[in-house]
Amino acid sequence: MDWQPFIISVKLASITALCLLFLATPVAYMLAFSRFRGRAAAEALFALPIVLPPTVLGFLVLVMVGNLSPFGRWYQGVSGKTLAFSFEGILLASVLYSFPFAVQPIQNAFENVNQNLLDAARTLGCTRWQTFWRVILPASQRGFTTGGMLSFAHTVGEFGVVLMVGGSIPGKTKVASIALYESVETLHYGEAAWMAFILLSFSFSILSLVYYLNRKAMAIGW
Amino acid sequence: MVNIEIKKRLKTFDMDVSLPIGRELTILTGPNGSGKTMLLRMVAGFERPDEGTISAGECVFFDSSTFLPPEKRRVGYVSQAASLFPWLTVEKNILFGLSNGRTKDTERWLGRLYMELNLGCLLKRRPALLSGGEAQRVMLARALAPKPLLLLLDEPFSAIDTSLKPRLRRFLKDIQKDWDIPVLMVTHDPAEAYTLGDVIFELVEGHIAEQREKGKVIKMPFISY
Repeated sequence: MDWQPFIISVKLASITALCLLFLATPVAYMLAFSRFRGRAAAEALFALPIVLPPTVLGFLVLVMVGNLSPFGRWYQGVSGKTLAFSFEGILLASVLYSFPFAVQPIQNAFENVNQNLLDAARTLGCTRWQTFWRVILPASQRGFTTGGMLSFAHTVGEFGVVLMVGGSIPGKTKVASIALYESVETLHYGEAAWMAFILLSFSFSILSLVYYLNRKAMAIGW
Repeated sequence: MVNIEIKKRLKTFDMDVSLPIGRELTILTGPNGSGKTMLLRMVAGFERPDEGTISAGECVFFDSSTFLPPEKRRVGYVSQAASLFPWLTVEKNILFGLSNGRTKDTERWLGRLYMELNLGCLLKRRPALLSGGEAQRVMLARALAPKPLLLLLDEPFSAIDTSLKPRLRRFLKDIQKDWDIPVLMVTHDPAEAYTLGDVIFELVEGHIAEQREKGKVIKMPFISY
């Protein structure tokens, strides 16, 4: 069996999860703590990838990175390459596609930080910014682990978006789920079964770990 | 000298309080829902009065043109609710409000806090493993560690063992005297009010209903609630 698609999947998922922890934090903070007009619309926008057909998102990304859009032209001008059918392209698509899986756990964690802790920090001399670093972040640790793991697992599980944006270029954009699809298409059922088994056990392990860690954190009263 | 003169419209009544607090231990008492906690929260800077002034000495916390955020007020605040940081040990909780430079003076002060509040054996523990009374003592130590200019206490001894209460009251009285800082404390316990308070105010529906000075009290009133 060819392991390369798995390696690309894991690489794509790790970088996506890492990017998302940074990108999702300010968004989660804004959604959790600020009251502004159009907040419901903003929340809906960031949750959209959950319900949107992956092909829709894939199509949008493809248009966005193509030379019809200013962003696509700018990227081509700067790097001399196009984002479509490249690893960077599927990375961008994955970040958008998994955004809600990172934002929502972090936002939940922020919203659940005990107000008494925030009050205590303020009287002990912390500005809002210091309160964020010294209280909100450590108190939300669980949300970050969950968000990181879920966006990692969700990226490994994506198919339509990657296919639309990346095609299936071996060694570059051919991820495990696409390799599985191609094995089935070419009637290599044995290989397909193995890949399906590996992906299934992987997803199951990650989800078990998420639930286990949440349960444990609850038990120590965090 | 702390001066509180505020008005605030609340859901069930309007608050209108004028409360001068000297360098003494002032007790605020009164029935549930009379606005005691709200008053403390306004002094701490968590709630904004509709109008009035709040000042401590030269420092204006609130008036028509000023609203000093809580972190600039140097107020120690101990609430009824548990508010220890669960991911920090007791010791780190207590040191939370101290800026990095720790002088000899601070060390001495901390030593005294640990001793008087009986915290020596708790320092390395996590808050989750503390009893209600222990947590309350740690919160008191944490509020006192940065040497605040004013101490606000919302029923600080309510969860503490009866056997420990006299010692803690004496400690509070001592530091208040030594240190010459104003303390405003909310309590439901008439005995506590009378053993500790230099001045006692009773708050009813957002208004000061009665003021008693120590020594002028003849009998114990308002045990009814």
